Amino acid sequence: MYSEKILKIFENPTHSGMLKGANGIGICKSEDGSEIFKIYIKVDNDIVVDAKFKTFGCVGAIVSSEVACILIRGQNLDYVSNLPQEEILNYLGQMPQGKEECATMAIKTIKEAVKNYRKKQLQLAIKMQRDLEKASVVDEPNV
Amino acid sequence: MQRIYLDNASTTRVSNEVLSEMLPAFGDTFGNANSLHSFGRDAQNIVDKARDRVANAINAERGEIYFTSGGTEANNWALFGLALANKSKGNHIITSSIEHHSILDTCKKLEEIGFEVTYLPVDSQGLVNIADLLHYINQKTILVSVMASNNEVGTIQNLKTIATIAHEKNVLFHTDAVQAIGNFKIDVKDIGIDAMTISAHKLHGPKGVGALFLRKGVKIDNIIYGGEQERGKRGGTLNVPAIAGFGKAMEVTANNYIIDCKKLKSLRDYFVTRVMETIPNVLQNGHIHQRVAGLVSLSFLGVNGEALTNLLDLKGIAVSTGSACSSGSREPSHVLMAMGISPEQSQSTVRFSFATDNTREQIDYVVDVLKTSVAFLRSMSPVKVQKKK
Repeated sequence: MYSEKILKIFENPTHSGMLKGANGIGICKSEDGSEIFKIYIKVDNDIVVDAKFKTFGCVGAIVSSEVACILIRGQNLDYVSNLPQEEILNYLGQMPQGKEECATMAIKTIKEAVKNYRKKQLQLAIKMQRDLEKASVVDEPNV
Repeated sequence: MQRIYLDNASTTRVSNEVLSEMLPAFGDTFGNANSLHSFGRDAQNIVDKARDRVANAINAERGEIYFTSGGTEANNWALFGLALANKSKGNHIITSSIEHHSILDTCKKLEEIGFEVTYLPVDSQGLVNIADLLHYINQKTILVSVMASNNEVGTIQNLKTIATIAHEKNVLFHTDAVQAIGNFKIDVKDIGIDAMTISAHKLHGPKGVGALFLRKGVKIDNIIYGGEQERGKRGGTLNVPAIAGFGKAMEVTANNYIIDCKKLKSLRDYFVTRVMETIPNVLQNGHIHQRVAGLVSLSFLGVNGEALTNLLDLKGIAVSTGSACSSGSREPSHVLMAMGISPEQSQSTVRFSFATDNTREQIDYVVDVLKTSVAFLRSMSPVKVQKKK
């Protein structure tokens, strides 16, 4: 049985949907593919300025995703990538037995989103570096 | 907020006439049905009357009905008792892969003690393939146990054919009719059933009482010892009030089968039509025609069934999900999986089961709530559902 608090969060999520301008996306599927967690993050200057989710799963999965987004907004990436699942469980109060794993999946999805953001940043940096190198080669004859 | 109960396959409300039948057994007729004095005789009269009613409802004899604590006990008893009583003939049992856990778990236990069990597959509509039964039945087979109708999708099995095949091979046939008995008439003689499990609480009777029909002459071992009740086959003081209610519930059900089934079918079909008109991407599970009247299993693609069930509950609507799910210990429905339904669709499944006191106005309300709830959950779902009406 879910608590009133959990059901209230479930009925009124404030972070569901796609996030425009997201620069990190994490996706996690359960082993049999029957539950899917997707979390979008928008990072500016190493701070998660916004986060949203889309989750196909039970009430526990949806509220864990919602709370994960609440907890990481305004936090720096080091904090976000080390967020323990207890933070989600503490926020929710009491999860029914067997549903704690929903918080684990949400945490895993956040980490995937941060990983995805960092990968994109790295790719961007490499691209900028190459662009700079190209520009300097082109500029050389005029030096 | 109005509360609407569409989970009658889980349990039903005890009807007023059943309750009236039970109350005296809590009052003046409180005796132990096995006592020799007048208090005991009065209680025994109630039990006898109930036994007659149960027997009449399925065209059995009074002496072929054994009261139990419910369907689970009767299923355990049927399998253990028939297997052990016939082990000198063989050790092979055939059942289906979509049985209730009170059958499947008992079969697992029987396997641990040396019996061999074949779990027949089913087709995409939940029907046992008769060719498979013919293939697996052999010289060592002592029992075939196939449920009359499935509790999750409502598919009705071809009982008479299965019974005929079993008998041709001199094999006993048991059926779990817990879900079926309130939905369609079962004549044990006509079908050729050797043992059948029934339960009261699925047909507006009380919980905690059921029965095993055992055809006269069929040998069965006891599984509950400690008294000579039920002609020495099942120890334990009889639950007289519950048995009284069970008898009445069976009588009422038997008298009203035709009218009630028509009403249930009408409600179910109205509901399905309205859902299909109103909500896109919904699939029906189970056999479209050969199924019980008061039940439908629907998959709302892209929506988790447990989440939908909780959302409906918040609006006062009680339904049941096909699969228990959690990220850590998900248990996709063994019935839907056996029918070849994907884990994702399985997790999107909700069962709606009706009673004759449900109304079209209630169904209209449920469809309205379903529409908004499904849209709400789909807006949160990353699953892309193929657009179709």
